Amino acid sequence: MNCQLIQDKMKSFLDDLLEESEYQEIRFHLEECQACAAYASSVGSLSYKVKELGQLPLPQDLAQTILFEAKRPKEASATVFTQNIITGKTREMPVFIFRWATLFLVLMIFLVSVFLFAGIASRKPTMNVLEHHPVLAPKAEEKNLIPTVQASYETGNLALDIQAIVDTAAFNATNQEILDQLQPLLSRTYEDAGSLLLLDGVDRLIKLARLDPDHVSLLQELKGILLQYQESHALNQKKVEGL
Amino acid sequence: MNFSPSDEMDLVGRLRSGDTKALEMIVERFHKPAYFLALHLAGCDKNKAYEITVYSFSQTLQRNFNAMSEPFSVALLRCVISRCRDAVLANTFSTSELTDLPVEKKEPLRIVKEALFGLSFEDRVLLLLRDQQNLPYEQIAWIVGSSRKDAKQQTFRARHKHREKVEAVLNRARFSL
Repeated sequence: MNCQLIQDKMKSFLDDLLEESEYQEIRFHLEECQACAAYASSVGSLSYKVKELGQLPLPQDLAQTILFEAKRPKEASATVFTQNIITGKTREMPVFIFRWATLFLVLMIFLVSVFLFAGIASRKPTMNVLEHHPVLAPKAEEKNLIPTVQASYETGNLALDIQAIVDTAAFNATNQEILDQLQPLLSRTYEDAGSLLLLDGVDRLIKLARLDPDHVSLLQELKGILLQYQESHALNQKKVEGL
Repeated sequence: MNFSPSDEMDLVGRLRSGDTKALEMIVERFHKPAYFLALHLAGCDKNKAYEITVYSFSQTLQRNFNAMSEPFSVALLRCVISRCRDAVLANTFSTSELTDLPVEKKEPLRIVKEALFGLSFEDRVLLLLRDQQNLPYEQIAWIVGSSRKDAKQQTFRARHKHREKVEAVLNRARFSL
């Protein structure tokens, strides 16, 4: 392509309307030919002004800095020195060993945390009296109270547990029999302060107006037993401390 | 920017085999387009563009060439664009590179640059890659991750928007007079 032809197509070139091969041909020509470059500049196209922004002077040492950076050994700072405490000798250790060790440590901490959390989550509350009791458990199952018991187990809500006991008692003809069964259980669970929570739950249930009078009297009896046990336990504790 | 993929492959092959001359040739060929792309893309000053160029070369050269699925120039320009995107967040517009020019040349270029900086980052990338670096649309599409047709359409739109911005800058200058 000669200069005349180039200059004829200059407008189309600057408006980017040429085929790619022609565009690149003119571009290469403009890099070589001063006259055509001057003509392109004189046309006053915006595209050519953008190109001129890329023809300003470069920083003198840019290429040298890039070469210096490229040739500089990159792993020089990626080593650590370890010293043998007996011989006193130092040796180089690649930093990747420490990276892997850190990764391993983080992984181990994560796994231990997961196991610990799973262990805590699977612990059963001590006050779940209906679940394993030989007399109450079949009754509760018969009256379909297991979901209620399960709910109290999930949430740790003792009030639900007591509600289940009361329901079972209502189902049974002799409440005294159930109270007799409950007493040793409550005595056992008092040790881990469970009965204190149970007392609180009983109080809350008594306040519920929707309970039948029979239930209320049953709960009051239950509360009396708990208080009695609490007092006797406190007395025992004093005796132990006196000895 | 001379964009011959076969030459580039040859140079990278020589660089991989430890030819330091090839490294010098790569730097010589690509440092200018990388620097001017950084300078006009981020709208930042000369020092920041310098820093971005050196960093981008360093990063691209450190990559494992055996695993590279794209030409060196594409990887380099993509790195420059990525670094500039971060620098743009600082949003500093400077015309420090024009200070040494005579006034009659400086003023039009200042207007062009101001209008350029008024465009979105993506529009600026396309406009600079096409009008400043004169890259073919295939290469531009490769760098920005779109099809050739989309790259061409978006470049035309960006050019149109740039023209409008230049007119706005000129009108503003006239009113201020």
